[in-house]
Amino acid sequence: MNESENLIQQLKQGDEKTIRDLYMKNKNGFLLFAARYKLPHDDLIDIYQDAIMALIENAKRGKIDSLKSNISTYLFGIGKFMIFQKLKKEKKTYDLADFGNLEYEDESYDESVYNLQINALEKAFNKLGEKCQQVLKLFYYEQKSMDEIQQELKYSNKDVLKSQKSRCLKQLKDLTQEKVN
Amino acid sequence: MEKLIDKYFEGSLSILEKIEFENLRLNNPEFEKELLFQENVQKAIENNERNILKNKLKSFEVSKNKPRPRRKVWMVAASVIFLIGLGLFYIQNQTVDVYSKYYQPYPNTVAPTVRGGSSTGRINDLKSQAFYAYDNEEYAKAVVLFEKINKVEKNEYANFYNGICNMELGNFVKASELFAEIKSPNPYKNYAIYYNALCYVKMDKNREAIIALKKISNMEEPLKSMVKATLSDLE
Repeated sequence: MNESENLIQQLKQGDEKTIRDLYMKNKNGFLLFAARYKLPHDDLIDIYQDAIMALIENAKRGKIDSLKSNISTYLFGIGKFMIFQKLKKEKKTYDLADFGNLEYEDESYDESVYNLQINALEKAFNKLGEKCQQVLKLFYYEQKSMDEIQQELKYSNKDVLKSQKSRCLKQLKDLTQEKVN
Repeated sequence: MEKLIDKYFEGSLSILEKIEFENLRLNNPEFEKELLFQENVQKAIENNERNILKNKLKSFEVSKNKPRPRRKVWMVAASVIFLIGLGLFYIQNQTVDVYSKYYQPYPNTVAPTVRGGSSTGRINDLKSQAFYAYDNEEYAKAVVLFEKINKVEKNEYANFYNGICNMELGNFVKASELFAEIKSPNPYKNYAIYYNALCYVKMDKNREAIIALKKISNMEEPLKSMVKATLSDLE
């Protein structure tokens, strides 16, 4: 395993020290790189944090297992894309050529989506048992297949896992239903 | 139905299944409702996870603003060397003024001035304003700002730096009160006791100064050497 594969592995596990080291190591470089876009310092920190988050999320979802560039380059690519979105949103002027060939694009990673049901589901999710949280997180957040989850959580067969997941979804429905009534 | 939705989230629908999926989504309200529910579940978990992670990353920024022990030690070490030099100068002149021999404003280790600060974030702003004033030796201005910070945010540094400002302004009683308010656990606790002892010296309370210094005579370097030297001059 080379260094960057090792790092991605640690990120998948959410290792706090790895995340911290990655964050600290790249921060100044990112701020220097981003300085020319004339955004307020606090905004840049915010964007940097979102870029780190997207990186970790993509690692967990297995999207960067075969990453060609090094992690820092990839991270800055995400950051650059997010700066581009920010400038567009705030209707600031920017040099289009500068953003002509973005290495990274991901429209899905915008502001968090909120509506009443999502809001209620967030609260309900935290009331679920550990097992349910684990299964649902692996399936919906880390976007693992049922086969992968079966292996990871050592379920004897896929049907047991399937009915477990259904039970968990049912619980969420009941919990959010109570809220409405 | 369940199988199709699972496959949709797994991204493993075949072409034929995709057609069936779209068909159901458009024509079967129950299917559509279930799909929407699960998409919301996904969004909710995602929001949860992102909030947790975001808070963690934010905490990296906060803890970074606390004085870093190594740098603090280095800075104080530098001031100790300076103080020793100063001490030698005074010894040569046969004057023992403990206060001016040992007193030096504590370095700003909290918010080193950065160019191009931003205008958002109220507390951050107050904080950088306060330390900007402190670094520029505008102590009266800094006092006001540190007091404001205490009103809006729980923090570990404001009383300590406010104390130093008051020493600079010659308000030793006020400074002493501020240092006394610093209770452990607080990274400035031992240095607060040290500066408080220097306040006592200024108030002609050498006995209290000695008692205070003895409390911290066995702390980490370079504080230990500072305390030892000050004590030997006082006793």
